[in-house]
Amino acid sequence: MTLENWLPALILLSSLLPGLLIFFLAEERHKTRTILNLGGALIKVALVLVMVGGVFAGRSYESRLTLLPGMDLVLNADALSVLLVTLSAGLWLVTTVYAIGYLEDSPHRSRFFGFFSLCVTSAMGVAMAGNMLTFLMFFELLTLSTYPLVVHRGTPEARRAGRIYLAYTLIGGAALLLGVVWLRVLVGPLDFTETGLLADHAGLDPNALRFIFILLVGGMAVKAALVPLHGWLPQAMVAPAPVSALLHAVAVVKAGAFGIVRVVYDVYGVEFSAELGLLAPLAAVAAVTIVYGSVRALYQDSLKKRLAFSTVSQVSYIVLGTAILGPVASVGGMVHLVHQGLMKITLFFCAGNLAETLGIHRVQEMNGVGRRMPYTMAAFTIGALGMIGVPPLAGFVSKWYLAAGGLDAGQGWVVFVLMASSLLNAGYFLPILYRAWFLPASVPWPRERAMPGRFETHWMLLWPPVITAVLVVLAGVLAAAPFSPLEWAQLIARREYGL
Amino acid sequence: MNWLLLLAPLFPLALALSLLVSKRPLWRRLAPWAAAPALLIGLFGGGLELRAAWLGLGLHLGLDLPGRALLLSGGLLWLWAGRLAGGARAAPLSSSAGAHDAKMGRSPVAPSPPVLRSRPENGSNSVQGRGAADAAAGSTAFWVFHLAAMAGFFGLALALDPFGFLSGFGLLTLAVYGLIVQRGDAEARRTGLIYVVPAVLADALLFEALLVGALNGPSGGLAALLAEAPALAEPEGSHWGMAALMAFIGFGIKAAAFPLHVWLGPALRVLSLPTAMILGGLLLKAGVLGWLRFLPLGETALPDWGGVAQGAGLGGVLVAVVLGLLACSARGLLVYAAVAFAGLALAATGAGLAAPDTWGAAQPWLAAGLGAHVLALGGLIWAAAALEAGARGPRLGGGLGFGLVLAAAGFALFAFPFLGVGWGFWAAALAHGLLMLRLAGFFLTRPPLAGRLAGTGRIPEDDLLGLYKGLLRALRRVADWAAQGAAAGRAAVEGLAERLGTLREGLDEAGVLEQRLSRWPVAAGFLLLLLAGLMFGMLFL
Repeated sequence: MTLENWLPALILLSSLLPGLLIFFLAEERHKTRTILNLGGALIKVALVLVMVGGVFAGRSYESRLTLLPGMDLVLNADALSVLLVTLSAGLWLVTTVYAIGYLEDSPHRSRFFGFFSLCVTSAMGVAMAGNMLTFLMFFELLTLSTYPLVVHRGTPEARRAGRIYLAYTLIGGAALLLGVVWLRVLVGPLDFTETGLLADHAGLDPNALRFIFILLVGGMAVKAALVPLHGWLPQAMVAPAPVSALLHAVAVVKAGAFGIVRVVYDVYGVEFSAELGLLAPLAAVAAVTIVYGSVRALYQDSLKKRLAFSTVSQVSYIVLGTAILGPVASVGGMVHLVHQGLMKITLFFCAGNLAETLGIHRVQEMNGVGRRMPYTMAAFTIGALGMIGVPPLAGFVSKWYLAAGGLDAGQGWVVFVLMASSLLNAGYFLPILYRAWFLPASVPWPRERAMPGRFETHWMLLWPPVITAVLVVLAGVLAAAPFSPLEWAQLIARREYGL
Repeated sequence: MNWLLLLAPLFPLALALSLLVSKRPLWRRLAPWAAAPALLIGLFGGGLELRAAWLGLGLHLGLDLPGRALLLSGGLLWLWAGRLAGGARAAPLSSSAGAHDAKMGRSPVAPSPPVLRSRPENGSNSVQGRGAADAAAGSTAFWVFHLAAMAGFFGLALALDPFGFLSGFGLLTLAVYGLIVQRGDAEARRTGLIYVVPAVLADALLFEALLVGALNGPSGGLAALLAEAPALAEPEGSHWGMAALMAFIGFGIKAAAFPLHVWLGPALRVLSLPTAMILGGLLLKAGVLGWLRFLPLGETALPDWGGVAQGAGLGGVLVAVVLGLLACSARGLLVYAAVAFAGLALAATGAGLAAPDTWGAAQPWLAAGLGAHVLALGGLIWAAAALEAGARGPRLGGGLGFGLVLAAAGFALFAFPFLGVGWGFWAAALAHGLLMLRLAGFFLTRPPLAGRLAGTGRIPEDDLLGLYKGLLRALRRVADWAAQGAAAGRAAVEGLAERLGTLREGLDEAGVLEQRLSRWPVAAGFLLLLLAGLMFGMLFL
């Protein structure tokens, strides 16, 4: 056994083992829990960096475990999986720091961090899954490990949100399971292939393949929150801020969007999907979701709900990029996988800071908060402007490639969808920024808490959004630099389209 | 040496960030001088060029003719506005800033410049708003936005690639929004909204326009998006027509070309003087720069597009001149002077598109006109604000500004023969000259003439439909006259008078409707409908 065989498994274990150990820790073992959390996150980042370098150099990594004859559990590292693995590992580290600061005094911390680690393990498994069976397993594990996080507070509202979340995702999971079994029966082992595993199977019934596609993508569309399957996401925002951040930026919705990318690219193959006439409806659903999510976000007074509807809209950029035939749109979709994660996690961290420090939950309560918490609101501003697509921030690069991809593929309507989305994004983010920076503060704040230290809030809450906001700027300013998300997305597109 | 180009945008940006995170007085003292590197680069940096493939989507900075003209004139105007904001020359004109600062809990800063406002309308008092803007003009927030806007402006003046240009434009747009709304009151908020909605719309249009240009570049596809993009230089490329239309409209909104100028009047009304100078002198010219830089001027003959641009530009000049002649305040006059210049620039751009062979000889004159107009408008805004504040000195400034406007128009006139333009251009130039005379009259004989003109009516200076209102009023006078004539030959013209009376009632109704339509959101709604219709037409017809 070599490092090439072990590395994917080790990356998985770097969060699984600390998570399992944390479950058995007493509540007061704060230090041990912190060491396990941060130690696991740092080891994971180091291992992922080794893998990134290896994949870039052309090495292949694969861990394989045979469960039953013909049914293998496969973890491997192709260019696409490395994109999500790197994002997840990096953001897990900052989210762990944030979560430690956020849940400093709250009960059930061991339970929380145990499931938190399981959640990241599942997201890593989804990212590195080498076949549909492995993907399905981790996809469902993700549902089960995030449910306790959604209901963590134990309030009636949280339990209700948890029930809705579980109902949606389990039904989606059932559809996915049905699709996987059906496809397995038709074509045998379902190992992901860069140009699509169905490319090697001629003579299959196209209608059956279309129906399976609907089952697979429909199952994943629940987690990706595509309209009309998005209802659970705004409800799930009752979860603690670190969970919301992880849910919206790295884990659940991203897993759904990533799954759709896998099905289109590596199961059906993008050209075969187009041949079956599957991409146009998918693009239409994504476009409707983009506009609908933005319109709904306009009318939300709850800050987290506004951000949740923004996620509904923004995650569909990834699906839209996937559903448009052509390498340029693929680059836009792939790069937005990373960019949306960076921007959205920044916004949720900031929303958490406002709630935790000043008790602000509603947009109406944000008057003048920029002066009280300038660094938090500066990070929020960068995240929001990035979402609007203001250059030179990360969101601009995504939109530039998505729109270019639409034009390149002869689908000029994409441009207008993106334009409408940008204007709507401006419509629901700019008023927040105006309130925060230009209106007088509506003191006293709803529930101000004294925070230790010399900063506007606890340092463990402050630095994560500042760091991710800096990354949002760098992802745009250094978009064409080596190892940037854009560079990596181009690598994926070139391999997918054989360029 | 080429990296020195980055100093122009990065020095003010670094100062803005320093002001945000540190209270050291050094940053505040340096702030009025932040434009100095850009001015020096404009003067001595002729051969500098920077290509950094790893920055943005491939950054390319350099000095083309219009960019250099804007760097030089903009550098001077930023220094001027900076000095005014610093209070060095504003002391005689300001009275309430110190008191306001004290009231707002800030340490008193140097006296701030006055606000450019029209006379109070509907009996409302502008003193409160003026004081608030005065106070805001010296604050840290003001300087941060002022410096950020400066960084954006110099960035776009230097950027020869779409990513850099759009980044500069984005920063400028948002920073000017900050400058407008920093006062924090309801009027500033409303004005901010009036400014930001078309501005964001324009940014979205320009995004798509420049994107198409990048896609149609010689290398095509993925590579084109990362390389220096020739923007809209490939008229045969796909979607070129849509992109060109978007570029005309997007830059037209920024340049305040008729009928896309609706945001300019309200925005100028509440601004502090330095901000008004920036907006009037610079932001508008950035839009003109976009036309000159990203349309294939001097490269490909596009007679259809050129003809439409010339028609739209010349029509805009004539409308702006009529409205400017009827305007009853310095603000209105300056708004329409700016709109008229945008029309001239658009018409000249159209001429360049129609006859590319002439562009090489005409371009230097137009660039010089652009630069002179930046300073002219800045000077006039300064003089007008001083005049309205009751100071006696501004006649010199007004005269200077007026001279510069003449110089700007002169430069443009010099370009006309090269462009081989027809009588329409000369008629527009003549009409523009009338507006200049009105401007001179305002500054030199303000009390009697302005008073007399003010009595001619209440032309809303900031709406799209002011012209029609004037025409309606003229029609009503004709109807009055006809009704009087009917008294002399009642029997003969009774039927006609009756009909005219009916017409007059109809016109009264139209007047009420007009009054409603003249509200800004309605005008903006029309604008949006117009844009939507254009896009629909491009897509589906």
